Amino acid sequence: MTRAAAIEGALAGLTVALYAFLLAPVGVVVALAFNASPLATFPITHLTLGWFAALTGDPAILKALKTSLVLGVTVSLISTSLGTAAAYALARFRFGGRDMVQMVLTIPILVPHIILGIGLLLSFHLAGLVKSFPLLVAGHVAITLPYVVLTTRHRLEAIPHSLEEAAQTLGANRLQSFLAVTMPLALPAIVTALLFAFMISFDEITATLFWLPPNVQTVPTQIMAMLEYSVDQKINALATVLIMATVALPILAILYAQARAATSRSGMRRT
Amino acid sequence: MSTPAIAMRSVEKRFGPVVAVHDVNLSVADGEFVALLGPSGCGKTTTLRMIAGLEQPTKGDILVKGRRVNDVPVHRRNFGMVFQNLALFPHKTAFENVAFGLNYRKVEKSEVVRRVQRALEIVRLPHVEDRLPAQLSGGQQQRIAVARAIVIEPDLLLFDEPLSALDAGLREEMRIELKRIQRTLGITTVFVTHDQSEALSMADRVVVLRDGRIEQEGSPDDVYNRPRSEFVARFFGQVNELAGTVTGTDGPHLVVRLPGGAAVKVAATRAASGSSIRLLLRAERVQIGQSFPREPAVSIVTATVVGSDYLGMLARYTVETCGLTLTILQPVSGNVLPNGAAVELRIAANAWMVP
Repeated sequence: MTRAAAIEGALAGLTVALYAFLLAPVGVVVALAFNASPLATFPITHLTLGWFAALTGDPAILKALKTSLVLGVTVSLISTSLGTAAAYALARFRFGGRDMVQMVLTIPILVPHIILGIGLLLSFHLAGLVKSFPLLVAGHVAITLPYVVLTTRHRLEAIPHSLEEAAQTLGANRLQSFLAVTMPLALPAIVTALLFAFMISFDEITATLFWLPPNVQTVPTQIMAMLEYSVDQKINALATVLIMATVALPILAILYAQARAATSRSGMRRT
Repeated sequence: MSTPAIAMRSVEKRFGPVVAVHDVNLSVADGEFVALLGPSGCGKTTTLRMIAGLEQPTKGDILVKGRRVNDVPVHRRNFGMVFQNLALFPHKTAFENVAFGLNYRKVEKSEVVRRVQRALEIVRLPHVEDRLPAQLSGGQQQRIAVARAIVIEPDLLLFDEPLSALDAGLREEMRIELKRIQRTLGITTVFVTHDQSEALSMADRVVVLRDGRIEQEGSPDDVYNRPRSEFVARFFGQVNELAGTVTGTDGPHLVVRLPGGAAVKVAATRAASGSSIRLLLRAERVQIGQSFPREPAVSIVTATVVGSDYLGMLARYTVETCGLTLTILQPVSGNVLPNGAAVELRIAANAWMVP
């Protein structure tokens, strides 16, 4: 065996080991979700779908799932609208304090969520506000906004300003020219930002723990609460559902993007 | 003269501390084709964008048919514009691109189809309705951009260096096409370019801009043959600059003695005998040859070829005559003259320009 081949083999082995290290815990969770034993132990003796059935019968989990979905959808819609508007302003206009605005909009990415959580909680308190669902939404918007701005801004900057100007010379006002020209061209980035914001909101736990109104749980905080008492096998089933959703959503997004690219490419081939 | 289709009155444009356009006064008559010509940074594009409404003048008024339009937003002006990068909508087909402006003007669907087809016929590009801009060639994209601008039956057609992105052959073709379309429709047109041959070949009137001011305006013949400044003279090609002394007159011509002693006849304005005079001479207005016949309105000067560049259709010679060095462009028939060749230069009295 040559030296190059040996190095290549070693690298391949290392890669496999690394992936195994990253993904094995996920595999363990999925496997245990089908284990009939009430204890999270190997080897698996009997298979069952009972834990999934039990999930649908647990009102606390269903309520948490509903809260998380409503929260995620609300947050991603608000965050994507605000973030796209901000990114448009940053991409199109030169105004005083532009660099500052950009920094303020993106810096929350670097701030640990625990600091954001405590900071916003203190601010609520000082402002005399009690914890509520709208405030939870506000907190999640603050966390997801930078991702939306970063995702959409790049795309918006790549769209020449002259396209909107051309639309305006042809009779479209500013809003119409944005809707007819810029928006459709930026749509892939806007959809990506929407998915990003939803996933981040759905997954957030650290800051959420500080902001939750009384008697409200999101899916992650509900799992935390359940783990405090015992390792319930339903948690593995819930985790499996979430993993499937987390994997499926981006794959669907990628397939959609490829399908779009393929149509425009097949269009090009006609010439 | 009737009310101009478009007029600019003492228009100024500042970008912060930078004055891009100084006190520009310009009128364009109905149906006229005006070229705004100048080097980059001369304010020609800013001037065009102010007419379009894409920039607001800092001072002064812009009038359309006598009515002030400073406060009329872009989308209400009804001007067709062709952008430098064409600005075709990449996600819309050729048909949708051309039809775009009609969507904002209450036009019936059948009428939209009819007008788009008519516009595509005018630009001689039917049968590409379903293609996306990326599927069209550069020249086809150009034609779509023009069709999109004319389909709205604009009061004014604005071009911002639309041919600069095309290669040379296509540029020539599109020049002729744009001129033909403009003539066919009789639309008042303002055309911005930095290419002097584009301006001379297409426009009824050329406006030369320099540092945000109008340096000279006139017919192509005027600005080419009677430049009011050295800047304008040099803008239209290679120019030799000479200083001489007026020694007298010969019939209708001045006689000017050049430093080396040669005397030339100059068709020009009055100048007192003994005064010094600055002369400009275009490289292509001198003929090189042997034993030219003596004529009253012509000066013949002997010279020696000291350098030559073969340019294909033309040769650029450097010649010396009594201590003066001149650059001369000449069509090549046969061989390029060798260095050291003794030649005669034939210069018509009206070839001299006195700025």
